[in-house]
Amino acid sequence: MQSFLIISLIFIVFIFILFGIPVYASLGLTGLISLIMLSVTKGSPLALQVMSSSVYTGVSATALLAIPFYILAGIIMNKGGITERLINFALLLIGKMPASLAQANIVASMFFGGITGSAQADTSCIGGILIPAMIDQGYSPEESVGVTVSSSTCGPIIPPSIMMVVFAVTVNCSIGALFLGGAIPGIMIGLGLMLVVAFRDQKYHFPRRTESFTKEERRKIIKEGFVPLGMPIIIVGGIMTGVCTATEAGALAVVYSLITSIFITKTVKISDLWGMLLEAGAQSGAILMIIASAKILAYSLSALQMGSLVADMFLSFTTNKYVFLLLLNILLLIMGMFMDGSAALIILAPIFQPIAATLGISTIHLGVIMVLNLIIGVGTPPMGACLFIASKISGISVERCAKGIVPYLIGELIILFIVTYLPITVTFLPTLLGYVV
Amino acid sequence: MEEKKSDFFKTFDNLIGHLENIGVGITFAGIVILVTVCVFYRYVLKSGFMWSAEVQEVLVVAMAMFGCAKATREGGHTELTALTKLFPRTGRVAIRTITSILTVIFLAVFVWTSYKYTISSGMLKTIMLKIPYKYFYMWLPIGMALNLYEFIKRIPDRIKNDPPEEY
Amino acid sequence: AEGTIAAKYSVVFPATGTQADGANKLGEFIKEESDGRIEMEFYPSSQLGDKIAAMEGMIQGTIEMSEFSATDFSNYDSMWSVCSLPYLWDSGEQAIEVFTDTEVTAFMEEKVEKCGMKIIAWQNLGSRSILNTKHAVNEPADLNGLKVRCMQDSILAGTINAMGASATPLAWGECYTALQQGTIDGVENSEPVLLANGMQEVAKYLSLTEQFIIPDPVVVSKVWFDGLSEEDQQAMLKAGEDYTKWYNEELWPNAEQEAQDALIEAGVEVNEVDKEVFKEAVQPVIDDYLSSATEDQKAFYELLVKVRDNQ
Ligand code: NA
Ligand code: NA
Repeated sequence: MQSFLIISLIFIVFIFILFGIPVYASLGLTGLISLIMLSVTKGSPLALQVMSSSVYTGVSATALLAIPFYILAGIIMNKGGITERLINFALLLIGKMPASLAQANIVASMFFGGITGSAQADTSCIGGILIPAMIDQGYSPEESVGVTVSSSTCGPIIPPSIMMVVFAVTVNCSIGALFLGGAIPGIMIGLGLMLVVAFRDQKYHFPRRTESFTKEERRKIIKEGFVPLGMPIIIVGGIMTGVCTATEAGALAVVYSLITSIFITKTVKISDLWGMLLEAGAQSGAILMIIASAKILAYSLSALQMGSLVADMFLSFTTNKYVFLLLLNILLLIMGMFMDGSAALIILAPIFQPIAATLGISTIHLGVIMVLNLIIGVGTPPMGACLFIASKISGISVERCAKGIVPYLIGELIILFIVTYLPITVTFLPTLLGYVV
Repeated sequence: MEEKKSDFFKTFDNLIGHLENIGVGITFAGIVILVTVCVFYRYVLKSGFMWSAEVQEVLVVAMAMFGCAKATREGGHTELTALTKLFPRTGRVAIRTITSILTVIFLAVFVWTSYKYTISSGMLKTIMLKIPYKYFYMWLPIGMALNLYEFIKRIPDRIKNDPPEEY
Repeated sequence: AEGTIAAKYSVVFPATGTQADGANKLGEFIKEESDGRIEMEFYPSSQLGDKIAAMEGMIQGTIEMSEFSATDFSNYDSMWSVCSLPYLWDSGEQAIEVFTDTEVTAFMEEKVEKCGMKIIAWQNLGSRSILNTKHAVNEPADLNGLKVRCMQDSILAGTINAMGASATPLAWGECYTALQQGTIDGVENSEPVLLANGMQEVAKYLSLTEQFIIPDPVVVSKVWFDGLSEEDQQAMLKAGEDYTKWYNEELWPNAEQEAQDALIEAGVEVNEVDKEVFKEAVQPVIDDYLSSATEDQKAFYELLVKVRDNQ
């Protein structure tokens, strides 16, 4: 009965989204239906207040503040012409390498996403700058979105990572070991995506620079490059030296981009600020509302005890370690498509950790696999937050964005399977540094 | 007469638009300033405002709610159109009508239930500033009521103009 | 199963660890005392929402059970801020004895019911001490310049400041990375909680300052409880009573010791401090509080102190 309810709820939300109800309303509406079902089947009072409390806690979560901050910083940097300077600088560095801007996008994400630990923040910030730039240079919008969104998934794998903290606290394992465990897989994802770009370049011949910069041009680019390069320095430096948390760094990024574009590049006037606030505010409101409405549905799925149902199902299928890992990957990929990664971790980690332990799979390995699986979902429809952000930035539909990400998704899945079946990729670093995994 | 009515509506609609802008702009600016000042106080002055998280919370909730309504006004919410596009015109109109009604139902229920939620929060207060939670929760019904207004306003366009090529 | 009454137990702590062990046993007690008529469903890690959502759910009757810190009631009634006062108890055991005393229970009952809830059990959560990344703390001067993360509560923050540190507000979930990167220098909590959150990996000096001892009540929804049959009500109360005894006498003392051993094994340097010096340092916080306290707060404080000193 309960599994029937769970399946029908997931089916309903899918139908709503496919037939064009705004995503936040699809989630909220299914949430409302699920609360009614819950009340009928359990004979408990209708918990309508859950709609309000879920949305409220959803939008007021501190870690989510990174999203509006980086969206705003991205808008200011774009309007302030800082983007252009950054791109010129990246091009100068990469030289005449094929598909230079796409490759720069991935490297930037490994760097930036690695620090912020949030895929959404990475898509907003790097994507806000590089998607328009790539389209400008002649990449198709699909390609630009595909590269940006897929490379954003590096962030929550390369330490530090908010999702890893959630997993570690949920199953009570070492956060440090888990962080270290994510380092190699995160870098593998980045390098794997760069390979995908290189392969695709063979066929599609992405834009590349043919002419060398003159001496004056070089000097000008380097000089102008100091302004945008201050941004990662503020963010990385700020977090690493303990000035601020990853979320707070977003506010500093806003202040930095504002000060530099008003006083140094002089490309933004104070009077422009209001319009940029409004633009970023509307974009953030739309994204926060999707995350918040998903929480209503998450409440019902928890209360229907989806977790233990899934565990029973799994153990009835198999007790073989490798088959278990395969099934786990499939299930998590699907879950990641439908749920916020952290919410899915909170529900699923305590279910799978004991099963994994019985089958001789290390908790650290399990944690990295789970985060990796779930984070891939942020770039896929129907509920990929990064895909939605990228669709907003690029101005093309979610469907077209989804098409663009396919080749990169295949690259990610290959890396995922390597990481799943070669535990050494995860356990090597933590073991080297003395953790017992 | 007809013209007067639409003039009145225009003025009213502009007013709502301004209200949303002011709501989004002021709260967003407030959050950026508050968080920046907090970082400065903690790092440079080695002290902190214990109340900052509470103020930050109310600002971000109001910002998200006004932002959500503003996104509806500007057609900025994510919705998928690929499937609907495959249907013939009558089918599209029917689908757009039904989905519009369902969305209105959700928004109306949300406005009503979050209003009840706000007034029933009663004695609930924040720990530091002792601000009643109703001043935090009230942004949900306010924001969603604006959102409902914006959505209803767009319905004729949503149905008549089919799924637009790109939203 | 069919015909049983489901009681959703919504909590913020994770699915594994001492508190979760306690929760599972609580479910067994409830099942046993009600002859299987009431079945507790355990929802850890805020799956059904945070503390405020659980409180609101209990008021409405959509969440049946929860547990949180005694001070969390002050969201509804400022009287409970008394429980935040530093050095109110000598030990967690003493606090439990006082909170389960008949006179204190009678006094609290009406207050809690006004919030739409009912307390059925109390759990010792030990004492909160300061763990920091810099050096061992022996006296208030050692805390000078250390940014210690503190919950948002003026008494708790005032105490940390009076002890010599700088109270810094920060979400608990961010503390691990904040300690690692030096955004803050210390956190304060009980040993099992510090261990459960892996703080021993990033901070190595635990000084047993034991400034706060705040036990957690297990509460049930008043509307739900009132709707139960007389027999089921008695079963819930009896289960709570059995649980209080088992938790505080068997589960917690072991857990606390094990946690301290595990911290030491992880390389944390644990030191005892002369608490008298710290008590003296925080006395102004208590004096300030009492001088501006409401009638309710004064009455509650005096009752707690009276029962404590009579023991
Ligand atoms: Na990261
Ligand atoms: Na990227």
